[in-house]
Amino acid sequence: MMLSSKGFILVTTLILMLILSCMTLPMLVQTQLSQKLAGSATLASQLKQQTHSKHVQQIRQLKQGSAEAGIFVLIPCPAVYAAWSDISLKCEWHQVQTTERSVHHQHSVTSFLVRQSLPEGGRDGIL
Amino acid sequence: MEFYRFGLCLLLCSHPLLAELYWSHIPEVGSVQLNELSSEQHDLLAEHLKLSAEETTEWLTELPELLDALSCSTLDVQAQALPASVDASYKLVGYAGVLKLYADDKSKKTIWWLPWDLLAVLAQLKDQLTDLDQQIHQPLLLTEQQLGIKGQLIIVSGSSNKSPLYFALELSSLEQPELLWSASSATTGFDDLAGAMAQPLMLLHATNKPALPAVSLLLPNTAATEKTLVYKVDLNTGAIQARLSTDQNISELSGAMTLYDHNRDSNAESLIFSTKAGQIWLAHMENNQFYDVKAIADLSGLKFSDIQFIRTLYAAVPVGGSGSDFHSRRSQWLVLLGALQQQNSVFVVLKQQDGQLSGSTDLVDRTLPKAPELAVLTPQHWQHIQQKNGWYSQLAGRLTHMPVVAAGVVYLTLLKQSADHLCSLEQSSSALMALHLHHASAVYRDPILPLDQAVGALKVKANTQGGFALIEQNRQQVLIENMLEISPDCTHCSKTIQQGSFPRWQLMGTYQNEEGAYE
Repeated sequence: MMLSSKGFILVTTLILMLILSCMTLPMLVQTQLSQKLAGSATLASQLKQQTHSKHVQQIRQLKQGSAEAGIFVLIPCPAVYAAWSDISLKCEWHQVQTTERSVHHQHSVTSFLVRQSLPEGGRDGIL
Repeated sequence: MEFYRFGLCLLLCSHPLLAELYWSHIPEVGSVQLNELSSEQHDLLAEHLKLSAEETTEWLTELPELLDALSCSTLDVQAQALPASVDASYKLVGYAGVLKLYADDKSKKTIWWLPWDLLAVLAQLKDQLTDLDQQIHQPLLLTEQQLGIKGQLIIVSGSSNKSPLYFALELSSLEQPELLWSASSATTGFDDLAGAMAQPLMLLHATNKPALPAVSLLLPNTAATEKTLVYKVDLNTGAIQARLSTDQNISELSGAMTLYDHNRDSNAESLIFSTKAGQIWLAHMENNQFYDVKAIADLSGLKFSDIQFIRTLYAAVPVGGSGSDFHSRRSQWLVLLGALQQQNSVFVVLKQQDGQLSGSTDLVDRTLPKAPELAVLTPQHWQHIQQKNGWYSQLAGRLTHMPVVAAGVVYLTLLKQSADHLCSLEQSSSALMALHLHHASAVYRDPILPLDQAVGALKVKANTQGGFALIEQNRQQVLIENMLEISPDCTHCSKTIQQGSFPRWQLMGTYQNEEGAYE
């Protein structure tokens, strides 16, 4: 009788321990996961912010003339309210791309800008 | 004694011929100087003029007077400067086919180019030059930048006496003009060429070799009833590449036309042309094909006698709503048109809309009143202009040059000829006019600035005060000290253009891209 009751307690304890560990382990995993999840969002937004601030800086440098854009081609000028005859106003198309990477992630921002300059002299108007 | 008198007479008679150079092209012989003809060439000339040998000599001695009589100083205003690769001090003017190259510096010889077919009818050209109903188109100059060949200059022009003629002249140096080709109704393929000479148009093709662009010319046919409206020819040979003809009823084409880049890819794919009465047509072009000819506007209600020019301009046009709001403007093509109404002219700004035929009633009359202070733009007027298809303004006098549009202001140079002395610049008055592109009101205090003398082509130049000045190209005379720029903040808003505001940057768009994942 004694032996069988001792065995019962052991089995019960073992079952209880199993149940407890079954409950704790997922909780631990869940906490870790949610921490990772929370962290990734922060990292992603950090990366995004980093890219953006670098991009803004690049555009500023381009506008100041201290940097050059990757691609530039001459294009017909976009429509403006205070329009110019074709030859007076010259337009260039610039593409600025900023890419930032972390281990397994990359974020890039691309902007298209048009630079309008006014070389002196108008068209030689003939009729 | 007799011998000396004869020698003196010879010297005096031949003197005017020595001061100027007279070039022509004898078919199958080549370019010749009329004052240095060999006896054979002299005979050919006599045969061509249907005169005896003595009469031809007499004709040659009278040639300077004949050309002096042909000279028209009101047309000289339209003269174009030659590029520096030839001689920048020389200017070129066309008198209905006869070309005059002259310099203000009197020590430089005046050079005349007289088309062979015109020699017999030189005296009749004056009538054409003084015909106020018609526009005398000036030659097309193709410089080394456009041709891609260093030091080359090609002049394309035409004449219009009975049987019109187009010709291209190569002028690498002033000493030796060479005729590249000429085309008249006697030339194969040009059988239905008639009417008056018109403005030739240059057409560039994208080729596999970008260093040497293929250049073609578009030559309008202005005959009263023609089958071919426009010939497309090769620049170097004059060989026909394509013809624009249509079964639609288009009669009496004006000599003005323009290329139109509808999709803004820097390659023109359409051609806009007009009849003398003001019907504006658009034709599509692809390689050597013209197709889909359709009318885009009919301004015949304005009673034009000829069209001076047509050009296109891409602008952000106000369409209503609050002024500075981006959505209250629409990017679209404008057609700028200068037309003659006998001694006066009309300037038209037309909004080019696909699939819509604008009539003269769709335009708002924005002619400036006699007293400029009466020119008030009411909000109702402004709304009316935004809703309609454009505006027109009647001008006193003829336009001498293509209007310059700078920062939303249209600058027009006007010349009012005296009715009795059409070719006298001294007796004519000229003025510069500045109008708001979107509603034709005055931008400066006075919309019309009277000028002491007629001006040549206009140019924008940086001034010392950090702004821009409008100058006259030939004499570098300052016409407007500080140029203004229109602003969309309000209907009449304008400000001085600042050099510091250039270059301007416009952000067209930003997009983001994200790849990968975190672990």
